[in-house]
Amino acid sequence: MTVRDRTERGNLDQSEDEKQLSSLMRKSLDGDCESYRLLLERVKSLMTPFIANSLSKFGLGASGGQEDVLQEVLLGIHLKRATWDREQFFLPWMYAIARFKAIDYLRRNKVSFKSVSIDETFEEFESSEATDLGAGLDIQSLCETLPAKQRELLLMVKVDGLSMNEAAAKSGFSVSDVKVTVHRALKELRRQVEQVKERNHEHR
Amino acid sequence: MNTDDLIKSLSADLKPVRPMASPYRMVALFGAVGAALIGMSFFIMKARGDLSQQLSRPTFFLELGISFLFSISAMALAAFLSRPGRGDSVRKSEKVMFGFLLLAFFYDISRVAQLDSSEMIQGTGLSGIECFASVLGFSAVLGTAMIFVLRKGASVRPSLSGVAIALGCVAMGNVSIAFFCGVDNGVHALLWHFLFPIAAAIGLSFVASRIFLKW
Repeated sequence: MTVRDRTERGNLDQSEDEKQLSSLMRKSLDGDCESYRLLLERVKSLMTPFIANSLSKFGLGASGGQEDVLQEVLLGIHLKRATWDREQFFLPWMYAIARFKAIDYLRRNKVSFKSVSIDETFEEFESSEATDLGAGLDIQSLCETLPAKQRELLLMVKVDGLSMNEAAAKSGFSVSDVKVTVHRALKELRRQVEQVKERNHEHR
Repeated sequence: MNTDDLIKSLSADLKPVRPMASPYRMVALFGAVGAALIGMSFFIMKARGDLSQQLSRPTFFLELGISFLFSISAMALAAFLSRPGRGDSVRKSEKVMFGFLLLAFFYDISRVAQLDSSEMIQGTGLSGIECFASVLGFSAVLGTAMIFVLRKGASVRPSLSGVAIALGCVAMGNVSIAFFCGVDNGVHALLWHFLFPIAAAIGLSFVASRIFLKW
């Protein structure tokens, strides 16, 4: 699913998710069983594609590992729920646990990161960028701040779903130029996201 | 058990949870425990003979200050690492801690540079093993206490947490040994108070963190 698809479906409007989940988590910490059940159900629906996407890159998509990792994430959230700070965002906390559990699972299965291609790494990077926002950031307005070349190539690769080769052919740049430009664009977006997050923390 | 059953069982009998202490409170706790241990050390070890003279030297307090701030910054890193999703704070703490690590290292190097070759050789003497053991013992006690506290957290980088705990405890050990070791030799301080204890503590904590900070 592309960034545009997810934006249209509202999945990237994380401010709403963040508000709902933070509210449910606060009630859960006070012992509200129903809120906690709703929270875990919501976490399950958010985590299922995230875990499937993470594991499929290492050829573990159909091994039953997804269910194992999902359960470990839920258990991790349950056992370490006291580490969530009510003043902090919920989504970065949840995804930090999910990433840790997914990496732990991959390590246990002795998966080599060398086997992942650069395109897949970019996909992973894009995915983590999208999921780490946690603060209702507007990706499209952030993209507007990028130089034209970076913005165009980023949209081609990450929004329109073109491969590096297709984007290179369409834009007239070399494949390596496209890879470097997209990498720089993601790095710049990450920097801007960090700035916005810092500002949000200061406002709190 | 399938995931839906797991969700039902986890949410069935939920109890209110007391939130973990904030990272700042953990750092304050570490400072307090470290200070208490230094105070207790006076009952076990004999203070250096020239302590009253040293207490009138500003450089003595500078050395203590550098070690203390290094120790606190390392423990701040460990405390932030114990909270998932605090990447910004972790990155900032990392920078501050490595800044103080370099400051402490170059301060010791500057002391070494003031020595002549015979004094340097003197500083490498094996009599420094006693200081090494004292710093390491102090660090082990403090480190065990901190691992006990931090294992309630959820470090997503257990090995780095272990390294931060080791550095913080050795640095606090450096503060402690300054009250007991009367050898004013830069090489002695660099090797037996700083580098050797850090190497040993990092090795130990690397293993300990993988066992005790795993979750």
